[in-house]
Amino acid sequence: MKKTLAILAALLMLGACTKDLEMDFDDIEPQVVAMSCVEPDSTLMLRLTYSRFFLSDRPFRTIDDATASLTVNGTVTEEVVAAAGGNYGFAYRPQPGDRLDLRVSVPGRDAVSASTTVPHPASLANLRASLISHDQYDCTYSVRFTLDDPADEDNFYIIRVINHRHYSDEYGNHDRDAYCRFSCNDYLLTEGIDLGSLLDGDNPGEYYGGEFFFTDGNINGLSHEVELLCSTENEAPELYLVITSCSRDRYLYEFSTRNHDDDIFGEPMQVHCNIDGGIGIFAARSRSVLPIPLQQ
Amino acid sequence: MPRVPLSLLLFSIFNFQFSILEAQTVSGTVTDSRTGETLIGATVLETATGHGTVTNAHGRYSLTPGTRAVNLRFSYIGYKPQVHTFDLTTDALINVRLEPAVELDEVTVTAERVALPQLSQMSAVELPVEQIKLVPVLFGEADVLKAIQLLPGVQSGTEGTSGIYVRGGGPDENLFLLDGVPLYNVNHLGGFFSAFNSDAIKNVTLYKGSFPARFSGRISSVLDIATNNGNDREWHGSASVGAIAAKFSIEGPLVKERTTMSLSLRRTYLDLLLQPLLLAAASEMGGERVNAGYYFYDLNAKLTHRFSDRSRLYASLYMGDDAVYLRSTYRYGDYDGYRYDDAIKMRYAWGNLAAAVRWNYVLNPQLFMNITGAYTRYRNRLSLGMELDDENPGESRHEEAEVSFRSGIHDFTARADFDYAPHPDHSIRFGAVATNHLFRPEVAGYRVAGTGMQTIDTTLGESVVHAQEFTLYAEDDWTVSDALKVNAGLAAAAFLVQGSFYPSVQPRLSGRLMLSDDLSLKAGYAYMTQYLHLLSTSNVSLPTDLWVPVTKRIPPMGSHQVAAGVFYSRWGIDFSVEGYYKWMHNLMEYLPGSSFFGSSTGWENKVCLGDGRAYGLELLAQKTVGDFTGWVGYTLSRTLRTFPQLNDGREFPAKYDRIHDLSITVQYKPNKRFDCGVTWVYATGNTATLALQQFEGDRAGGWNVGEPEPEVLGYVESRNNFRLPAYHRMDLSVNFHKQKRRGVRTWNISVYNLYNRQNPFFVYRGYKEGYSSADGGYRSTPVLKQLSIFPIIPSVSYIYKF
Repeated sequence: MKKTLAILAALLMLGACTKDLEMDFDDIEPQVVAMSCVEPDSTLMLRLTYSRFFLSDRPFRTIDDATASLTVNGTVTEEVVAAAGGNYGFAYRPQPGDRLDLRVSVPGRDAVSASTTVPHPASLANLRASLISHDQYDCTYSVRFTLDDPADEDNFYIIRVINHRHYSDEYGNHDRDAYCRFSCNDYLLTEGIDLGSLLDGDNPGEYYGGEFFFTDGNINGLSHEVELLCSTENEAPELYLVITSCSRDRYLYEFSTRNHDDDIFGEPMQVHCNIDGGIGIFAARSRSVLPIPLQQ
Repeated sequence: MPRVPLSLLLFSIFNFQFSILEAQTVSGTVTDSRTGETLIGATVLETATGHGTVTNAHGRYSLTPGTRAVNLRFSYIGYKPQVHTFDLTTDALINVRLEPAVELDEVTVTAERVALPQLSQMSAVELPVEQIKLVPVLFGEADVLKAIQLLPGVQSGTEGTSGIYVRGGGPDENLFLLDGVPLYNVNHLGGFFSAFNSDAIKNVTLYKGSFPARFSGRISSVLDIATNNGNDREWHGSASVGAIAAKFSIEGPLVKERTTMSLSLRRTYLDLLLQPLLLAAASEMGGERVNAGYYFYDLNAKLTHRFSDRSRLYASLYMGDDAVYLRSTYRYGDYDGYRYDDAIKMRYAWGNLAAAVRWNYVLNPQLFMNITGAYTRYRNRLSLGMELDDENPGESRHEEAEVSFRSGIHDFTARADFDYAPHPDHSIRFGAVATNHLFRPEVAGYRVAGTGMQTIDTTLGESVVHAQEFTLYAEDDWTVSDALKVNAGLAAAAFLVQGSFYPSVQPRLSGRLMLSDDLSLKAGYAYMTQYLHLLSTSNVSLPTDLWVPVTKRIPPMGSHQVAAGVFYSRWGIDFSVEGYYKWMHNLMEYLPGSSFFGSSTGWENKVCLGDGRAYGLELLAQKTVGDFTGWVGYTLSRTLRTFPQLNDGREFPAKYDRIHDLSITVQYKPNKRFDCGVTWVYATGNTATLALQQFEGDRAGGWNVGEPEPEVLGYVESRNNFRLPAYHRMDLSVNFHKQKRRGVRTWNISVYNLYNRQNPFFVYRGYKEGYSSADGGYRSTPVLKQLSIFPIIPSVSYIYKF
């Protein structure tokens, strides 16, 4: 009992060192938040809200009385005035190569704006897969493809692999999609050894996870053979390769949202925004979803 | 026409040479009469002509007074001055042993002192070791760096740590010299203690700017620490037991007045104290056994041999290591021959080793030489692993896996330094330094083995980077007139790494103008270059911080610093006001989201380069003799950074940008039986990066297949946009001394953070839970919380000196 009390006393001493902080913050005016993920051949949706003070737990206020105008390749194409619930829909369906300029006017505030260029989908060829190991429960496929990177431009890619499953139970037939973990041992893409993977118990020198972010810094203008090792359950897997070609802003936004609060030892990651005069992201991406031919 | 000026020039040179040849030189060593320790910075003054000098790092002086009848006065803080009167007809050797002032009387003797305005050096502070020992500190463990942190122009890092940030510089921009040998990691226990054992130290000088040309390699400060040579007449020692560490030191003559040795040891015993708690925890937790602990030790050893009055040899060794370890074993079952043990283990060790051999030789009374050969090593190793033992009747299985990460740096240095006093008005120093750096930046190991398994044992990144650094320097301390003194110097450095060559010419200039006997103006300029970078995150300082050399892509850091000040002395107190402006370039920061755990061979891709600027005003009032001693230091400063890849390229405050920084240190020593010290510090809070707004973003990917889903995200408007509450605390230290039959015992009582101020270590967004007073409903409200790590901490130490 005495020992327990000693431990409790030690914990109490440590616990006593935390306290709520009363601070006078300068007035922090809520800012206009514009969120839009632009994709080719899809109607363009824009969501407008206000930001809130970080110690508030109220719901975000939507902006219903704004005027949003869209300029495509230098020509004002469409204007949407006021939308309930803060969701503004444009009829225009962007195409790869389009340059889009967005301008949002909210009564009583300065206008906010942003621009993006719709990237072309990634150029892939020779997608194939081979089974390299399997046991009673799991199997591992080597998935290979050739990525043709356009020269003279910066390209940003995200690779994901989806495992689509059909299954039946007493409630009926179901479909379920889940991201599949994979590794990529390609120094040109991973830019070095990642000790974080090592400490996680993964093979060093490889990317391992469910989303692989990389740029064309080391493969600019090249046809580059990419190999992924995908591990999945050994139950009739149906794999799809999702490769997303992003505008720079979209890539940085997605990358920063993945990493902004992960590592207490790292410098805090600022979520990337590109709204001039406000917060949020108006940026494009082109996704290609390709079925991976599997040897069963 | 050209013949006239040429004749004049030749005449001047001849005249100068003649005057040199005509003048006789007096030289020698100044030592403590009781211990034989050489005294660094003792003043030697010819009272009639006003010509003077100070002893160098080896206690040597050389003076050409320019007069036959010499009245030489030797003085040093805390010692009774001596006057030697003689006719100087030939070069003379005068070795002086000064008597400690406090030994002469029961009451305090006001010792001779050199006032700050008279010294030509500016932006330098010398702290007597006895004063450092009186500064109250955490756990009662006297610490050089903690005392240095109390000086103006020096900011401390995270609370309790001994990192120093000098005039807007980073923690890696300080050159720590232990007997002239650079040390890389000077922290124990994550920085809560420095590597310098105060029992082993003789002299400490901090240079914040106007660096003499003999120092180079770091851009923000030089901390020059000299260790004890050892008593050359009698054996003495001390032993102490404190709250967390025990120390032992001994010194004495191996051959009387010829060969001395000095040895100091320190070790913490936190790991031993922790064991009962761990045993208690284990018994409460059932099957789990935990063995964990932390310790550090350091050792300072020095051997000095005097061949003659002209020749001395020093051999010194410093070793210091830290280790934190954990092994947790959980036994799931132990019955009928079945047993299943699952263990995780971790060990983290890091440390320095510095060894040096130095040879002093007086070539002639005007020329003194010091030759040094040194080896420095810093290394760290982290290993994480697991073990599994599964025993069944007839079958047993063992598996183990370990990942490890280690890095190191080895330096081999040879240097030659010369002090040359050819003329009463010139004191010249010149020399050369060559260092071979051997970096082993990162070696990762991965090992898996087990019963029936194929063993994998991989080592990655076992590449060694060799680099060579060369420096030539020369400086002249020139007495232009009685009022004006100038120190002009030049350091020429070069760094060779992987086929890249980085030369650098670094001019240094400082001057002093006496306006009256106790008032002077000083100004200085220094350009410094640094060829090593420390890879470190800005959030914490850990031993995994990695020293790397400049590369083709990462150029050297540099800084220009100008400083000017007014120095005044009255009532035995030195007052100074100094202003400075510093420009820094090629500073390095991690890119957002990167951290040391992501660093490896691709570290260059995870950092970015930028510029910095710092400016400020420093006020210091310091009293070093008398019953009451201490200082008041105040700094008004800004430290700013601009990195194209950070904060959208906008300028932002550095993490330790503190606008106001005040420290008051008072020590009272009325007699030999009692002394005490009080310190109060106040500083503007550190900056932190905090998302003060939230917004409704979206998140595609992750494990959500399909359309992006709304997600609450934090919005950071700019880096280091938030300032933590002000930092302040008071510390107290009281010593009771008593003469015993075989020595003096001292009880030290220290209280850190006397009024229990909860200073912020870091802040975070948390929740306040409780029932509302309005409607009695249960609420969970977001609040800003702070974590404080050091409440009031009393400690007691026992010291016995024999």
